[in-house]
Amino acid sequence: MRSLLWVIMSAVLANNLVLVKFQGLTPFLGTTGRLRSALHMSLITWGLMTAGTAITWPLQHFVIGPKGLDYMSVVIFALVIAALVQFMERVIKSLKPGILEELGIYPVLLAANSAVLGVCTDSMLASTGYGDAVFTAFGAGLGFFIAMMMFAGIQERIEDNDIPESFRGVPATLIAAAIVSLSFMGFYGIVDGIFGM
Amino acid sequence: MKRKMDIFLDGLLRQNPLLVLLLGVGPSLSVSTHASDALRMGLCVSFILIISNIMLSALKRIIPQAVRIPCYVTVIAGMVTLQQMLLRAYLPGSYASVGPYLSLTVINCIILGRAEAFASRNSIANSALDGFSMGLGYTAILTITAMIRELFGYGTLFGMDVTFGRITPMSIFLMAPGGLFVLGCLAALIKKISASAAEEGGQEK
Repeated sequence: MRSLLWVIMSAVLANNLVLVKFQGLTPFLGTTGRLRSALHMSLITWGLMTAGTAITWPLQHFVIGPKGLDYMSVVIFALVIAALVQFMERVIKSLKPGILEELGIYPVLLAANSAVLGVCTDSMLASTGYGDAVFTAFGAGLGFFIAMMMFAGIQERIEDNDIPESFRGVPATLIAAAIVSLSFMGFYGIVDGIFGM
Repeated sequence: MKRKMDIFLDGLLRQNPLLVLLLGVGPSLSVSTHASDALRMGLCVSFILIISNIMLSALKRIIPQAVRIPCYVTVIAGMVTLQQMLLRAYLPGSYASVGPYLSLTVINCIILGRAEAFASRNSIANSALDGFSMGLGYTAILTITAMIRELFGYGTLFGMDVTFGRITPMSIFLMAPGGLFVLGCLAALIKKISASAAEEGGQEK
């Protein structure tokens, strides 16, 4: 079991899902316009990643692996995640229906989110046991959460500036994401260097 | 007829999946460093988009609202698997270059997004047209992005050397930040074009 600090620092800085691996860009670019929706969206995604890994790990080790169904794993995982998304949508609808209206189509699109699927497969490969896998997924979710919050803050600052008409909105978001991800490349190797064992 | 034209223009420009709706940006970044791969990938995604739009529009009365997301994923996954098998059998060369990305088409946001936002509420003919125009818009932007990235990153175009070593390749264009930057500039260009087109349309009226 690796240290808590290593898992979290590596998920946030060096292996950040969105800014280093470019997974899950759709909610990252689409819902960070407002801090509130970014918060809701990243909390939903975080929960989904942890729950998804908690379900797909036993599935991989007891069903897919022993039966030799590896070629089907993407499809099976995608189905599990889709079912989870549907379940989550119903829970949110009964608890706080306002959130779904605010986020529009994005919660549904989580079923097709490469970050969620990527976390499920990656934490499976990178871990030794069940607890370790779920914990790695939790750390990756935290990395996603922090990237979303940070970018939402940047977007609010962008809106205060006077940018050319054609670059307002989506183009400015894309270019800002390019610059932020470029700066995250600087963290490459830093986590192993400082916290590595 | 006007509605059909609207659907077509929406997919191509005004609601372009990559540049306006921001769907499926992630996989596009990884595949758009070679123009020929981008073209192949765009065509494969368009094919899935049209077929899944048609099927899900036809099934919209049968699929219950409460379990619709797993149903969509099942249909899309089935189509992707079928396409992989066909491609491997008849076009093995294409399969070798885009195969690894193809299985990820199952989780491409464009297809699920159009199923949820369009095909589940519209007629079969309109959904097919939406799939076609969205696919065309996606393929066009993906290929243009890849041409720019390939030109600056490798100095080639569709694999042919067009710069004759006169410019030094800039590898930043091959990395994902360069891809995001190119997409951002293209998005600004499309916005400019649709804004001026809307202005002209307004003057004519």
